[in-house]
Amino acid sequence: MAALTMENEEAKFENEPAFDLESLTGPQPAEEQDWLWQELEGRVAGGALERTSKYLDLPYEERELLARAETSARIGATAEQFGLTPRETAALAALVKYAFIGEFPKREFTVTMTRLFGFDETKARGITHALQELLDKAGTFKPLEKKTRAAIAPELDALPRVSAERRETTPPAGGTTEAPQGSIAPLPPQEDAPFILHEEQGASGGPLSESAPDAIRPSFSFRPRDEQKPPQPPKPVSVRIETNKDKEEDGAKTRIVHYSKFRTPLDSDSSNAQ
Amino acid sequence: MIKNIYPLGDYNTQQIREMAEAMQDPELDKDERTDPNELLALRPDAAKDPAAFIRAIPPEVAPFIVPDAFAGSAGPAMAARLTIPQLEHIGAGGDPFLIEAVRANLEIARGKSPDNQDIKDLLEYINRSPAWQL
Repeated sequence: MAALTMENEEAKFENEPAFDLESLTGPQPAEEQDWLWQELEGRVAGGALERTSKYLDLPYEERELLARAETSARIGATAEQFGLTPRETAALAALVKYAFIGEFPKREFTVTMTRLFGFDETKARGITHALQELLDKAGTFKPLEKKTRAAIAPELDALPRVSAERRETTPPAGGTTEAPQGSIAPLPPQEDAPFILHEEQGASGGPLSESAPDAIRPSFSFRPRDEQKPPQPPKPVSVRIETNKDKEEDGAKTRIVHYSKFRTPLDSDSSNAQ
Repeated sequence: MIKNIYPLGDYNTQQIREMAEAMQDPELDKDERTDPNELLALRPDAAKDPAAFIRAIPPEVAPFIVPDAFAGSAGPAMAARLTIPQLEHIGAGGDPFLIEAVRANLEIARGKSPDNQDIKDLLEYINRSPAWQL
């Protein structure tokens, strides 16, 4: 019976139409897209990617300046003034960009132009003079400098810092939270030792030592700050019992218990005076 | 391959259209639906009228157009409808492949319509702009 059921199942699959494989595939770029990218990779060749990387390192303000329609118009006007061809105009625009990205020092703009274009020095100087205002803006937009903690907030920098590791293991103040597993090592039992709920651990796992100045210090410490003054035990409360010996009438004694701070007279009528 | 940096560049125009339609599927919850224009702004070739759509893309979004958008037959028409502010942002963005895709399609568009003043103005800007030189 089971074999017949299996045969029926297989027959069922055989009669079903084949999967539409195309519907299961992912991205399917068109042939035109492949042609486009063959063209683009031919156009963006040589050192273009390196120069693009330098261009992208410029502050956005400089890139925006180089892309402005006014900048394009100024270069176009200069090119027309000095009779440059469209190809020389594009090359001049490229030279301006190269000066901005540091392909050569901008002070060598005239010399570079003379060398690349074959212009005479007078023409090259004239073109440089016409574009001097634009070239002077190269390097004026500087990226924000990263400031150190000490520069931003010197008072915060003076505070002792807690490492990230200690921050993760230190439970938050207030409320009860479970201590992370393995963060606090159990202390061996010691006789005549003060009962310590928690002992601060250093970065190496050992107990904190104030003698190591580079040790990680928490913002609080169980140890006294001044080791020169030994801790003094609290003053015991003195107790003096005063009895009224002169007046022992009716067997009642009046006892007055003096504490160092408080004076608590006992009630003479109290039966508990005994 | 460098083109792999554009995730949407691996799909053809029809697939992008289907994605845009799926984003507005009525069976999706309201908060699950996405504005298909956000997708079409990167692949304007999948819009109903690519040339009109690309002109409406905000200039600050233009640098993010995927170069594959200019691969099809609508590429030259789309490039010809770009605006100077859009080209300024593309130039400042510095994507060399998008820059060359636009330039190549504008050159094709000029060949098809040599008297079109808009195409001349766009090519004149590109030719004289330092940002558009590689």
